[in-house]
Amino acid sequence: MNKLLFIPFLSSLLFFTACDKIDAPYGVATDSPSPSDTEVVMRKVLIEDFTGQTCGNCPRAAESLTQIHELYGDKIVAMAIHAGFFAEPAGSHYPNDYRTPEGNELDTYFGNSAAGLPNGLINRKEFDGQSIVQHTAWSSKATELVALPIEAFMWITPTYSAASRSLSVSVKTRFYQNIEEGVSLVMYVTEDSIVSSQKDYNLPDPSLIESYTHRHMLRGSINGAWGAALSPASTFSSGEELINTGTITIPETWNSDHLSVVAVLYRTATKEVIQAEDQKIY
Amino acid sequence: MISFGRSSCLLLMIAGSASLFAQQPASSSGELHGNFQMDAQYYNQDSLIGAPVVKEKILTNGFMNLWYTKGNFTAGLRYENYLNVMQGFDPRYKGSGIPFRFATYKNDNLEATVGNFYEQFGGGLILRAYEERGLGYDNAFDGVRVRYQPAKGLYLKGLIARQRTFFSLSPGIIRAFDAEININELIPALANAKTSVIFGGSAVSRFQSDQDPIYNLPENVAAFAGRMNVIRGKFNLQAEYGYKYNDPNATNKMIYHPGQALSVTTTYSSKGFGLLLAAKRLDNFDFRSDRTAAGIGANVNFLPALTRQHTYNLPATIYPYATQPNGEMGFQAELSYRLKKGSKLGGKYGTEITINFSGTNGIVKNPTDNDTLGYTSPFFQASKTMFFRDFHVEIHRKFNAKWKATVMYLNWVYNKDVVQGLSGFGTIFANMGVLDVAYKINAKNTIRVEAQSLLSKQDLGSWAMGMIEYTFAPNWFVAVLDQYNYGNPDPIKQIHYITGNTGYTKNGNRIMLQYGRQRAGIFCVGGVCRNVPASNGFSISITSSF
Repeated sequence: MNKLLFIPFLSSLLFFTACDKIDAPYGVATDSPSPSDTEVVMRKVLIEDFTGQTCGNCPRAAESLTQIHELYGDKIVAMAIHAGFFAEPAGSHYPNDYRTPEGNELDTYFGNSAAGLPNGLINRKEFDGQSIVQHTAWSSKATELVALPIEAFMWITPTYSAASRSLSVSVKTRFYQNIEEGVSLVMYVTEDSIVSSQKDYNLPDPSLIESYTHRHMLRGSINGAWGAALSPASTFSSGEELINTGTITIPETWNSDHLSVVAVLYRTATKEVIQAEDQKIY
Repeated sequence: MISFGRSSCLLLMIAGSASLFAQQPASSSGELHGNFQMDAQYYNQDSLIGAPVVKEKILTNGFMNLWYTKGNFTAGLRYENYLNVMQGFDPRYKGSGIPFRFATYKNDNLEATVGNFYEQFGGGLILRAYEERGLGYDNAFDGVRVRYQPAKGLYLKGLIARQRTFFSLSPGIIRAFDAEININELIPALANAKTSVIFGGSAVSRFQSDQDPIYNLPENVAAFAGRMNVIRGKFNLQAEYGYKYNDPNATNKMIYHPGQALSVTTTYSSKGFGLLLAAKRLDNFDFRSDRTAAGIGANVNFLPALTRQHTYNLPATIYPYATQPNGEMGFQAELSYRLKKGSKLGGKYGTEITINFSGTNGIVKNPTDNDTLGYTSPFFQASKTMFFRDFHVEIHRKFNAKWKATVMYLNWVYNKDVVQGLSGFGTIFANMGVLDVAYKINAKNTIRVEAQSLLSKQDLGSWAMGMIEYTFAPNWFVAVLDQYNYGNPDPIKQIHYITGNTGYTKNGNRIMLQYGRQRAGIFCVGGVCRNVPASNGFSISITSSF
């Protein structure tokens, strides 16, 4: 072996010193204006925050989500899913059970709570083979996805009868690109600003916030955890419009003033979200 | 550190796969070696300990290694399956595949490897890839590595790779270089010098693209380390210092404060007497190939706890310390002494005494005006926050050909909030005692009994543990173990965790059966908490090697 190899080998040392020294400012929590007109047709990204009331690090994820929401406005559709061990009622401070059959099913399918909370899903898409994304990476992934061209858009028309507590929903889907595979639509109901207790490890013992505002919490679904496949089942062409409807009776425990319908359109085979939309029920 | 032969259920379930490299090719057609392991558990619901319903009822983890060697060439692969992942392991392993495959050859003094490999620079302060199958940990590299020895006493290593995370690769690219100089080998005149000196230096850089719309993140993060090892007679001094440039990540809560680490260990050992003194300081030194990684995974470096790794059941499982990479300062001192054979105190076979004291505190963090920079920290100052203390004395004595015994006393301080990343549990003070007696009935039959006690007024209160093990050499063993939380402040939770197991070993094959209960636990690493549910069930473990 030629000993001259030694020279290029040592000089390769230079490669390994690659380092970016960053000086202040390290970044900005921007409050730049974002598009808020829901009439504007644009790509929207679904961020699902898997959380629990006794998950002491989960408020950090909720803060990340708020920051992304401020940055991208209506381009972000958020849903907080209470699931797993840390969402179980615990003692006198945490008597409520915010878990839902639909949330539990999603949690089992994607494995979120078992992987440790907080974490989330961004458009239920796999990044480097993993669909579970830590909250510190949500903004990067969301940035990547909001930039993609629009494939479909949804208009949600809710009709709520306070007397019967019946919520009827119509979702019009319009395709802006040809999609050559099965597509499903699911309609969830979320409730915003539920004030109840939350554990927060940033606080000293007992690390309890008694009136924590739980944002956009998944409460239930109009058509199950996975919704239903759109027909025709296999291909959709640009310009095509479809209307789907559903009805749900709102339980007394849900505050109808704070309810929204979240519609999620996804590729049936991969579960990857094509488009999301949310709309307050009035 | 002295370690006496003990069997632990966990250790027995971990298959040894390290011996594969030792095989040398004998024939011109090359040699194939491998090993196989399968663990399966049938889960019962057990509402008393909180063991949930497992839908699959049976969960299994398994793997097979195949290594082929011919001359200077080696290639190998490992198939793994998790159908579905057993409880206690990260559920992201779900599935099956070949996550590890490699080819390597050595030509003269150059060795090149492509594919997967494990590597360690120095003590691992800025780089170590390894596998710990029993914990479900594997951060193997996947890339290219070259090892080159340009001259006697000079060792160079370079690699470019990504790291395994479950069945995929973490997003960062690691570029790393290490040089080690053995002065005594390099300079012929010093070959027989009384003092031998080894210097080493390494650099590691991670590239991960920055798409974050909020932070301006460094895409290239570099870390450097220097080390030395001086050996003179019975003395040995090892020191390593590492520095890492701004690396805002999930573990350090996105601060730009640079990281530093220093580890110094000195030992003196002579026949019958040994002394170890060690100190360590870590400041913001969690280094991963994915800045957003949380929990266990994608670690580039290795930061072991500066405390003795216990193997007896209660000290090893109830309050084990875990390194706090965001900041800790610790020390360890260990004195081991052997009372002479035949002396009045030492008895016929001699008596070994070990006294060990280790402690770790936090570091002082003075917040800066710019909270994104984090804090400043005086290097030689520890904070008053106690993370962990372990004082223990262990005495091991062989009385005669039939009897031997170990007794141990431990006094611990354990900051549960800090170590487990929780809040509201506070600091736990515990006293523990261990008695381990083995009686050799005859050449083939040995019976061993352990009695352990943990006394504490905090947290889950006191524990007792008893074990009886019968070995019928060389093939069989059977053991029954009971962990009893008799001091739990909640009377309903004063539970016996009984486990029985038996194993059969012959010709490289081992079959183990176990039935019992496992406690639940919450584990938090890097701001993410995972609840490992309790389990009750029957498990089987098969290992085989050829």
